[in-house]
Formats: sequence, C-alpha cells, structure tokens
Amino acid sequence: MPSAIEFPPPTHSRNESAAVFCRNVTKDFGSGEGRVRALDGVDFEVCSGEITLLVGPSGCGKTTLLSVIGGLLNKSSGHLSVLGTDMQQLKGAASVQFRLKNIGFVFQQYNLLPSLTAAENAAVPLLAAGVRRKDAVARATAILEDLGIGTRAHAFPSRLSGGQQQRVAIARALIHEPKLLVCDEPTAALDAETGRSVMKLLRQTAVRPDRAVIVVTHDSRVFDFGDRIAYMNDGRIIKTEAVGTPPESAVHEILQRRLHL
Amino acid sequence: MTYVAWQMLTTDRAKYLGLIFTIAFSTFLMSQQTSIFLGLMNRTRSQISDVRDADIWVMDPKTQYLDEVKSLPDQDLHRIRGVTGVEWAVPLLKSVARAKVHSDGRFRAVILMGIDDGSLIGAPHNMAVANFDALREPDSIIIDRVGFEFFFPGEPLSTGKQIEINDHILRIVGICNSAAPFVNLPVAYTRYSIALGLVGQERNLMSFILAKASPGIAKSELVQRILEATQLRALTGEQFGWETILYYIKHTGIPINFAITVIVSLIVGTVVAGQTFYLFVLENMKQFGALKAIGVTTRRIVRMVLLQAMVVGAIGYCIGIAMTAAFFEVTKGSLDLRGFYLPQQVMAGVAGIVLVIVALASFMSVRRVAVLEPAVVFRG
Repeated sequence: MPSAIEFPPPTHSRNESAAVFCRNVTKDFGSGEGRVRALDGVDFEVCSGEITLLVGPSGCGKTTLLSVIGGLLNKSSGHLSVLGTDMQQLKGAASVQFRLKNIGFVFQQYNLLPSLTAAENAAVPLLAAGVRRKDAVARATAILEDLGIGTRAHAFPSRLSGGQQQRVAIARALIHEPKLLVCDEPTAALDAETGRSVMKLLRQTAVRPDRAVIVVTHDSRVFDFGDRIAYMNDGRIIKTEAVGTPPESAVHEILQRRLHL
Repeated sequence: MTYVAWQMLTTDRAKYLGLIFTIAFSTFLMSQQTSIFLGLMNRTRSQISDVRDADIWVMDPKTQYLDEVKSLPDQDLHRIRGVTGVEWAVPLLKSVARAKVHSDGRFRAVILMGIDDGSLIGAPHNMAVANFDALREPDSIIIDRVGFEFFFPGEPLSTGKQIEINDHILRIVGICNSAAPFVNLPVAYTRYSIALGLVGQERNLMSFILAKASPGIAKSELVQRILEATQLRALTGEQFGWETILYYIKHTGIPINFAITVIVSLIVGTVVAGQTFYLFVLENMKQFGALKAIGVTTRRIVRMVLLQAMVVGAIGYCIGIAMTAAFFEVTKGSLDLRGFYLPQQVMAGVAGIVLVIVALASFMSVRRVAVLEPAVVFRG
C-alpha cells in the first residue's frame, strides 16, 4: 500500500516572517467515530515574491490546506500565521475583512457571476469594499487590458473562452492588490497551451516582492512557472523544494508514481 | 453589491418573471376577491347608507337585519315622536313589489321604498335626472338607473315614462343612482301614502321609523331613551348597517367561500414563490460561496437575497394590484357590478400578506445562504 510508505521528514526553514507560516496544523471533519483528519500536522511556509506550487494526489488535503490558509475553514489545532496575523485570533467579520483586504482567490471553475460582465466580475472585490461601481469597473477594465482581454471587458462569461474566463478570475483576484494570492487548480479546466499561457500571465502579473502566491496544481506541465514546490500526501507536507532541484532517489520516484507525473 | 444582487436576479429571465407573476397572481386573487367580498357585504346595507337624513332606525325588537322586518303599528310612530330628545320621526316602508311596463309587459321585482309624504325623509340624494322633490306630484315614482335601463333598454334617461305596480300606473319623475343592493334588484322610491296602496295588504305596513335626534342629544343616548320608552329596537344607521353585514357573514356561506379563495391564493403564492425562489438561490449557491470567499460578509449576502425577494415581491405586488385596479376600472361601467372597488385598506392588507409570502419564501433560502461554507467554491 503506497500510504504505508514512510517519507523522510519535511524540509523547512522555520521562517516565522514568511507570508504563510503553518506549524503542526490539523483539520478534522466530523466528530467521534466519523471523524476524518484531513490535515495531519502540516508544516508549511510560503514566502513573498514567490510562486509556491502545492502538489499531491487527490484527497491528500491540498484544498483543505488552501481553505485553511485562505481563512475559509478554521484549523482544528496547530499554529497558522498569514501575513503576520494569527488566523486563530480572527473571528467572524474580522476574518472576512482580512480576506477582502489581503487575499485574492482564483478558483478551478472560475466562479464568475454569469449575470455580470467581465469587467463587473473583476470589480466585485472593490464593490464589496464599497468602491463606487463606476470607479471599480474602470479599474477592472484597466486590469483586463493588462491581462490582454480589454476588448472583452463588456462580454458576459458565457461569451468568453475558458482561458479568457480564467484571466477574468485572475483580474478579480488581483484588483484589490492582495498580499496573498491563492489559486486552486487554475489550469485544470484549460487545454495545455492555454494553461501555460495563464500560468505565464500569473507569473508576470501576480508575482511581486510583497506578494506570495500559492498554486494548487496537478499539472506537471506548469511546474516550471513556480519557484518552490511543496509535495503533500495524507494530510501532510512531505517535501518542499525549489523548482529545478534534481530528483531525490526513492522519494521522488514515489511521488512521481503517486502523482502520476 | 445592490447592483450585483439585481443583476443576479434579473439575468435568469424565466425564473425572474415566474417569481413576479406568481406574486402578481396571488396579489390579484387576494385583492380582487377581498374587494368583491367587501363590496358584496357593503351592498347588504345599501338602503341604510342611502338614507342620510335620519340618525336612528327604529324597528321591531326581534328584527335582525334590513331585509327581514316585521312591520310596526302606526301608533308606534306617535310613541317615538313622544320620546324626549326626538326632533322628528317619520315612517319608512321597505318592501318588494313587482313592477312592469304596460307597453311590452316586461316585469321585474323592485325594492320599493315608501318615504314620508311631508318631509320626503329617506329620498335619494344622488339623482341622475330631476330632483327628488318631484315625488310630491301625484302618482309619482323615482326609479334607479338599473331599473330604468331594464324597463326601457336603449332609451336615454328621461322622466315622464310610466310603470305599473299592483295595477297602479305611476309616472317616473326622477332617476337616481342608488347604492347597489345585495340582490341587485332595482330600487324605486315613492311617497309613503302611495306605497301603502302598492304592496300587499297586511294589518301593519310600516317597516321602520326614521328618527332624528334633537340638537345636543347624542345618538346613543336617544337610542337608549327610545328603548326604555317604547321597548322597540333602535339603532343608529351605522349600527344597523353593521348588524346587517354581520347577519350575512354569520348566516350565509359567502365569507367562507371568499376566505377559501383568499387562503388558497395565499398558500399557492407562498409555496410556488417559495419553491421558485429557493431553487433560484440554490442555483446561485456557488456564486454566493465565491462572494463569501472573496470577502463579502454573510450579513451582506443575506441582505442581497432579501433585496432580491423584496424586489420580486414589490414588482409582483404592483402588477397584481394594477391587475385588480384594471379589473374594477373595466367593470365600473357595468350597472350590475357597481359599488365594487379596490379599497385602500385592501391594498394595505394585501401588501402585508405579500410581505409575509416574501418572508416565508426567502426564509429557507436565507438560512441556506447564512450557513453556506465559503470553502464550497473549492469543490469541483
């Protein structure tokens, strides 16, 4: 059974000033005998100015970890600091405000509002922050132009290709200039070429010295767009390495097999 | 975010219109049926409300409502006149007689009102042709518009024509716009002395005594004095009108039938609007999840959902009320449907009910949205 294999302890830097800092984070769903442990002592760091890829087999807890880091789920135990803020201290509206101000999300299924134009969709975080619609849409249109789809700013999502919709989603994630960008399988619904162009765009527009980017992906063809890769299995980070690091003997082989790379 | 809520609501035209017309038809049924019910009930007291000169109606102690009376002996009139505080008292005869047009034999039962010869108290004030003073002429009668158009169809309203009641030829000297009676029969007015000769012979023929309180005497006080002095039943016009309405409410199936229609339209409106709105919200759940993830507060999203429900409710209500108003506007020219209208109280009441429908319809949806985990957006 692959899950019975013992992995070496994760390598990490213990850099508490990292944009995201997780220590021994757990997340349980349910209670009693029906309890399922989705995160089982995660140690993980994400630094600003980098794209960190989070990879692992289906069901290993990537999305749960992303949700916990993004403040969409509460951890069960451990320490989690995002942009220097202890997430445990943020409750209710404070947590929502924190997300609105600091975190941008890119979803696998884009999750654009079909009733809004591309520019209006991209403007949603500003609208939520109370910016006037006219100003918000003008800002969104400018970002869409930067992302190369300015001519489609007034089109509805149903009139956009998958790649164009994902660009709108990226514009929406970046419009409020967040310090942390969280992307869940941004290329999964796209063909290889479009996926690469989206990642290239993400690399060009999202990476800034004061911004950290986490990308959950299955797509090995986009690995070279990241700076670091964190491998996850059975609710734990089992390895973190810089992109381009030579493969390590048995561990890499196991990961290759588990991830179907 | 109001704009976002509005766009989400109106983009799915089919559901949007479905919701609106569900509310609109519920509103129409409730307001139209309630208005007709109130109009019908108001009709039961039409002959009471048409008498504007008298304060008090005096009748047999066992009288329950306007249309079923036991006539009083003539001496009761003198007894009432003798009660301290009565400024004047006059007889009133109310009966049903068969009238016909001599020329072509067309006949119809009419409500015959015999009013005091001297004062003409109880005469119609809302005249379409001529003046009620014309009743002082010999063998004169005033008939309402419904009666005239029945007996002389297609002819312009005019005086001078003749009708026959109980072998007496009477000349029409005026045409009035009387309030529609419950049974929708024509109403005719003549002098008391003439009316006595038109209806079947009973020992007593005086249906009511109409009395006026002297200046400074309260109506309620006079009612009490008449009761104590004569043991006859005395009511103000307002009281007698309500007694008549309550009689019909208690002793006929009319209110139950109307209530069933209103309740069914309330239930159907709530269920259909609730189900459609719930489905609408369910379909948008992922979008609401995305908004939550982005940083829109649950309270704000709930407000968006409530706003959507309120918009649908308000537009549906306005359309429904407009449909009801249009119905009464279209039918107001019909003499058979006169007296039916859309009261402001019904508009206000139905608005309250629509608010309840919208609240119930959005309750489940709001609950779902409130407990929605934003992490749902990460699921495929």
